[in-house]
Amino acid sequence: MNDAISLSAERISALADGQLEGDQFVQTLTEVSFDPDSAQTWLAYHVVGDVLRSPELAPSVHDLAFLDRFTQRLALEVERRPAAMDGQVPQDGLGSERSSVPLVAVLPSANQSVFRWTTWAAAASVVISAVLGLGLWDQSPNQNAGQLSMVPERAAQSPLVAVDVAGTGVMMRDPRLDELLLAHRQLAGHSALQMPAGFLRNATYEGPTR
Amino acid sequence: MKCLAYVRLSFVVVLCFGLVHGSAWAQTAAAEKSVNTWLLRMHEASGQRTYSGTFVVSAAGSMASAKIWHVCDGTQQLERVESLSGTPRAIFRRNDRVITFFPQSKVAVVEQRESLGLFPNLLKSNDTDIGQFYQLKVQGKERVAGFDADVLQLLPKDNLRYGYRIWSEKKTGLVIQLQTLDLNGQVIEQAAFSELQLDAPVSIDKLSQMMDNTQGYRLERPDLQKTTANGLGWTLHKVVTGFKPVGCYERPAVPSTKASNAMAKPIQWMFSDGLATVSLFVETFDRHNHVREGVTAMGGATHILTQRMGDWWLTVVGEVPSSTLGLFAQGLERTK
Repeated sequence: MNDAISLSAERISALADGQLEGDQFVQTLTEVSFDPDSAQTWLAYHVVGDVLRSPELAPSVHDLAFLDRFTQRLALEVERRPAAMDGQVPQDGLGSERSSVPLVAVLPSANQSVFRWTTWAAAASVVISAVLGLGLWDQSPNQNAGQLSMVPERAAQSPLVAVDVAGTGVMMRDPRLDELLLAHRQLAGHSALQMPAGFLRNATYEGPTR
Repeated sequence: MKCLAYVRLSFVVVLCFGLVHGSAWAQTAAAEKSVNTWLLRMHEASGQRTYSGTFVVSAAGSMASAKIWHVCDGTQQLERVESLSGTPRAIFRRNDRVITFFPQSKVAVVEQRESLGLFPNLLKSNDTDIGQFYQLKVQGKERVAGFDADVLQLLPKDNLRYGYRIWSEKKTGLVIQLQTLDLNGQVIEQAAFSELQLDAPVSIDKLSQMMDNTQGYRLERPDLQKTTANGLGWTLHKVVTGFKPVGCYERPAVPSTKASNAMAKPIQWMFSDGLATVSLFVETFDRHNHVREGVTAMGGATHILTQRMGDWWLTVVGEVPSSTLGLFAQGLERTK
């Protein structure tokens, strides 16, 4: 019996470390999903691993009660979603409907740093925002081709774009405006204060942080 | 008898008016001279002194700094500006010739900046109207970067331009700090030496060698042609008070998204009131690229205004309030 428990614990440990594959992976995952003791062991291995890797997690306390509460609240969320989608929840989220909704999604969970997926989710959202921000989402391949082909042409025609080539990261701004701003700074120093302050100002200051 | 009294009274009125008018004229002339004297002293300081230091510019919540080496030998000035923030670049200046080295892309941009040599002569000849549009106030003395400095204010007499507060090193006149003030007197931009060594041991030969050593760099020269706005069919039917045209260049044509469109070369028409400068860019309207009209605040004193004018697209850039840029856009007229 003890050997069986030990064998099971080893497999769960291997699962927690991401070392299981194939049938063993499926079998152990099923076991952890349906057997509370195995789930407890799996959680314990995770906590031990996390504490070993990140000392700041040491004070964290996790138990199945949390998972139970989480599962219950998640179930409640799923039930409420249709109502929310029907527009019964106030748009600003400040109404009475909101106050009765569990705060699972609102408050940062105490185990936030343990679940690494939050990092990936944040990274994914940043990537999506960047893609949308750059206006690449809805553009056809032809449009993209046109845009990409323009940049080298301009770079070839005007050395002023060399600044962009040098990597100022101007992609979020209108490169043409940047080019004209640079032309203004380079040529239009018709000021009695140009020497030395104006020239040094223009030489030192590229513009606001991009 | 009554008639004679009228004549006497008229004579007295005319005399008084003449005196008042003459006095006002004399005051303006004195103020202009005073402004020009100060500005000339500041300008000449950079042509007579050798120094090195760190220059810091702060605007719109961001800050940039550069190491400066400056040397002169009576006939030529040489300057090296090594950026400490932003794109790595080294800017060398020999009088009005400027080379900017970009070590990452191995590109060196070579320019001749005529504007750099303009002001000493203009200030000496009293041709400039700076005192007419800015009021000089000497504010006392302060210590900056370890040096005693005279503090001056040049406040605009209208709302078309910004004001300046200048710290001029007491012995040499060198500008060691410069603030740009908005119409409410708030500081919107500041440039200053955070550290300065006057009469520093800077070698003119060494700087000269560094500037001339362009080996390994691809040299680029801005493709600019001097022209006149009037010759190209442009005029300002309503002059913006105080701003005089100081030059006009034709720039390389921007390729259109539609190859069939023949694009005229954009022009850059520049104006200055002696302290602030405005560039008026005019190019052929391109509906694919020219979509956003309005004012863009670039942070600090710089504003950009973009506006469509029939078949043309205007971009007005300057270190002035955005309303001033609007006056330039409104005043532009096509004569052809």
